[in-house]
Parts: sequence; C-alpha cells; structure tokens
Amino acid sequence: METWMTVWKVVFIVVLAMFALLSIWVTIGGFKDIRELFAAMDAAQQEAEQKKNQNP
Amino acid sequence: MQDTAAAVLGQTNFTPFDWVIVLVYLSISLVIGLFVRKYVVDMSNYIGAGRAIGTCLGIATMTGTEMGLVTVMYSAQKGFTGGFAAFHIALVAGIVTFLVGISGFIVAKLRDTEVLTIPEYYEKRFDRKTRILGGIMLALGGILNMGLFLKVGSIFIVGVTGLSAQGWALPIVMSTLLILVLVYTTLGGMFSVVVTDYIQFVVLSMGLLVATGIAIQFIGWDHLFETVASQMGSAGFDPLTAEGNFGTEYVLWMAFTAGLVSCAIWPTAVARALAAKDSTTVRKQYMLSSVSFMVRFLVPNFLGIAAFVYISTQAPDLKALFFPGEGGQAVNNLYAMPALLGRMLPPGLLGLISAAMIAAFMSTHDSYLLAWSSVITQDIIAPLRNEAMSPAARIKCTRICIVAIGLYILYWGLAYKGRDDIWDYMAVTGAIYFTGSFAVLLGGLYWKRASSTGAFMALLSGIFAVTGLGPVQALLGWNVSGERIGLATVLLSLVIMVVGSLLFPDRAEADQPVENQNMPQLAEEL
Repeated sequence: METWMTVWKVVFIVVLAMFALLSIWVTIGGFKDIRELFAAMDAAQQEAEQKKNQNP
Repeated sequence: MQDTAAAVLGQTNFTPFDWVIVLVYLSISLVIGLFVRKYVVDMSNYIGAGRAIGTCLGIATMTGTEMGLVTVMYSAQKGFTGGFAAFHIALVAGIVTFLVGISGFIVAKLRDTEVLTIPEYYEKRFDRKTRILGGIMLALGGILNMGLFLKVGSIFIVGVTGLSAQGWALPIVMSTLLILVLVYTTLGGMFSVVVTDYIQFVVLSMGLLVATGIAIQFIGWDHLFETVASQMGSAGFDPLTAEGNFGTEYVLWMAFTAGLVSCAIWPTAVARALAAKDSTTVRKQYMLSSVSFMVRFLVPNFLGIAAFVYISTQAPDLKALFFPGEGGQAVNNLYAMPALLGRMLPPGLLGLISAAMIAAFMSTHDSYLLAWSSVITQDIIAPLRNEAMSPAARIKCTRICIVAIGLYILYWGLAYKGRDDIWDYMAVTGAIYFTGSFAVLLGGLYWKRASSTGAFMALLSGIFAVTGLGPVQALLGWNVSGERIGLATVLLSLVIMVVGSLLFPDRAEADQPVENQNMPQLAEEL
C-alpha cells in the first residue's frame, strides 16, 4: 500500500505541474491561433466575394 | 428528494454575485456564437472550421470538449467510491494518448485521407452501405450515450447553487442551458465551438487548479491519504487488487476506453484531428493533449476523494445522508462533489468555478450535438438521397438535427427516472459504436485485404455490447461484468472483421489473379 501511495502522490504532483505549464502555453498560443484563424477566414471570404463579382 | 436531504444539500456559499459571474460568462458565449456566424459559408467551415486549427487551439478545443461536466461528475464519483486507486484511469488515459501521438496510430492516417467524418472514410475505403451503416451505428450509440448528459450536468448546477430543494429548478436549468447551447451551435458550427472551447479551456484549467489547491488546504494533504488508508485499506490505492472496485480486467478496459477510444476512435476527439492543419499537427496535438487527458480524470477523481474525506470526517450532517448505516437509503453520491464545492469555496470563486463547470458542460454539448448531427446529414441522409445536396441544404439539415437531438436529450433527461450507474450506461451505449468501429478503422487503415463485407459485419457485431446492460443481462440470465463484455465485444469485432474479409473479399480484389494481388504494394515499393 505504501508503494501505491507514493506512486499516486508523485503522479498527482507531476501531472498537475505539467498541466499548469501547458495551460499557460495553450492560453497564449491559442489566442495567436484564433487571430490567425480569423485572418485566414477573412481572406478566404474576400477571395470568394471577388470571384463572385468577377463571375456573376 | 426528502426535505431534510434537500435542506442539508442546500447549504452553500453561492451568492447573487456568483450568479452574475455565471450569467456574464454565458452571455459572452452567446455573443461569440452570433459573431462567428458570418464565417460559415460551406460544410467544411461549418463542421471542420475550415481545417485551419493550429496546435494550441487544437489542444484547447480538444480539452474543452473531452473534459465535460459528465466526465467530471463520473470521475468524482469514482474517486468517492474507489479512492486513489481511481487514479489509474487518468494514468492509462494519458499514456495511451501520448503513444497515439508519437505513433500517429489511426488519427494521423485518418487525417491524411482528407475526410471530414469517420463514416466518410468508410465509404472512401469500403463502400456506401458501410458508410451508411457506420453512420447509423455512430448516431445510435452517440445519441443514446449523451441521453443523460443534460440531467447529470444540471444536477451539478442545482447542487452547487443550493437550488436542489426547489422542484422547478432542475427542468428550468436543463431547458435554459439547452437553449443557449442550441443557439450558438446551430448558428456558428465548428467556429463557435472552437472559439468558445478556447475560452472554456482558460476558465476551466484555472478553475480546476484553484479548486484543487483549496481542497488540499481545506482538508489537509496528509489527512486525505490517512483517511482513505484507514477507511478503504489497500483497495483505496491498489487498482489491481481483486478486493477493491477495479481489478486487472477493469484496468485493461480503461486503457481501451478511457485511453484509445477516447482519443482515437470517439468522433468528437477525432473531429479535432480531422480539423487540424496536417498530420504533423495532429501528432503534436495528441502528445501535448495527453496531459489534459490525464487531468480530466485526475482532478475530478481527487475532488471526489476530497468529498469522501470531508463527508466522512468533517461534516456529520452530510455523513448521515451519504452513509446512513443499515436500513437507511443513501443519497445519490453524485451530489457529494458539488456539496463539497458549495461549502468549501468562498463566494466569487464559487461563481468562477461554477462558470468553469458550466463551460465544461456546454463545450461537451456543443461538440457532441455538432458531431452526431453532421454524421446524420453527411453519412446517412445525403448518401441515401438520389439528388446531390447543396452546401446550404446540408447546413440547414445539420441545424435541424441539432435541434432534434437537443429536444431528445431534454425529453430523456426529464422522463428518465432510473438510478443507473452513469458509467455503465455510457460505456455500454458507446460500445455499440466504438467496438465495431475500432475493428473497421484498424482493418481499413492497416490491412489491405480488409473487405467491405468484413467491415459491415464488424460494425454490426458492436450490438453485442448491449448484453452488458443490467436489464438485458437479467433477461438472458447472465451475470458478467461490463468490462468483460466490452473486451469480449472488441475481440469479437476484430475476429469478424478478419474472417469476413477473408471469406468475402471485395470484388476487385477477388477478380484479380492471385499472383497479381500484391502488385500495387510491389509497385509502391519499387
């Protein structure tokens, strides 16, 4: 039982620490990804409208 | 619920200020759903967000979807009843997801095929009838699987806010949340899902970490382990021991369901892989998401353990409800974790954590509604129609399906009066789809001789999983554990896939002379 207790203590602390770091990284990186996603969609939308105007 | 129980469970720190936090959060989600509507021009944008999701956004949206409130509630229940031994679920889920990321097993190959849904792959690799059957099995298993989500999620909300004493609260909360989810999912599709999932990831990860820290401070780190050791013995720590709630078979079943199925077979997770920029992004996303896949079980398990220790040692009024002794009827232990949060967290923070949990609830619903409705449109209705469906017609059809499924889960949540174990219900209904699908994906992606007849039969064999349900077992006179039935169904599907493919090869392959059957492979190698 002592071994399992130690295992779960280590797993819990290590995983939470990793998740805290991942959360910070994803929060910053995800914001950049959203901006890029919208920029790409804006460009695609403009391109579609231009094509529509050229070939009514 | 009895008046005494309702009064005890109604003791919470939730204040009007917390309601304001929750309402502001929900309003922001709604506005985003309306804002991103302008980007929805075709089906690829609607259900795949234009296939332009980067790694970080992919991790956020995958975590937002898979860390649902139902998972939180079920995992807390496992921690409450199984102690620290329940942590094995988190560990195997994380390890398997990381291995899938390294190897690209199933997901990377699937992304390379450029399909939007798994049944679409069935048609590309096999034939149309396999796609339609795959779509039907997927929609059947998936919609049944989420039948109790709305109710379980709403139990958390009325539990943590102290509204459980009011009879009207549960249906009102269920209806309100459903309307909100339906509005922004039908309007924005995958765009609104990924953007709101991102916000939900930020709120949820912060909320869970803070709640965990407070629980440790509130109860005491050593006290948690000492109480579990004294009350559960080695079964509270060792998942392999036969004396506890788990055992070797259960751990294996978890490696398959919580690990492989959750990340590589279950369509809501696979949808993120299919919406990624490329297969390299998919692999990276899965390796990094393995941490989130662990946390989604680990933290709720821990909160369930904390609830067990708090109720057992520090809250005699709750102890009388949850452990009434011989002859008494215990309150549903799903209420344990919300009761702990309601008493442990201060006002303001309780609102934030509740918003995070509601975020988890909504992010699961939006993704699931979108997944099942797009399967019905793309993989059942469109292939069955003689005429081609326009993008606008497909989007309209998907939106109608979203509303119909939403109404079904509202009806099912209100009408269903059973007290089944949520996990048993979910595992069995989900297994109808994923056992057959695993065999078909494995055969289709990695075995050239896999045939459409073998795939069709393997998909059908998933029905065997319903024998894991208690009422069905009672009818058959069986008494076999759900995990044993599940593992047996997986093996059965694999065997049927192999035997069916060997006995009934596809026509093109069957017509080829035997010596020429490996020519394409030889040509590739040359």
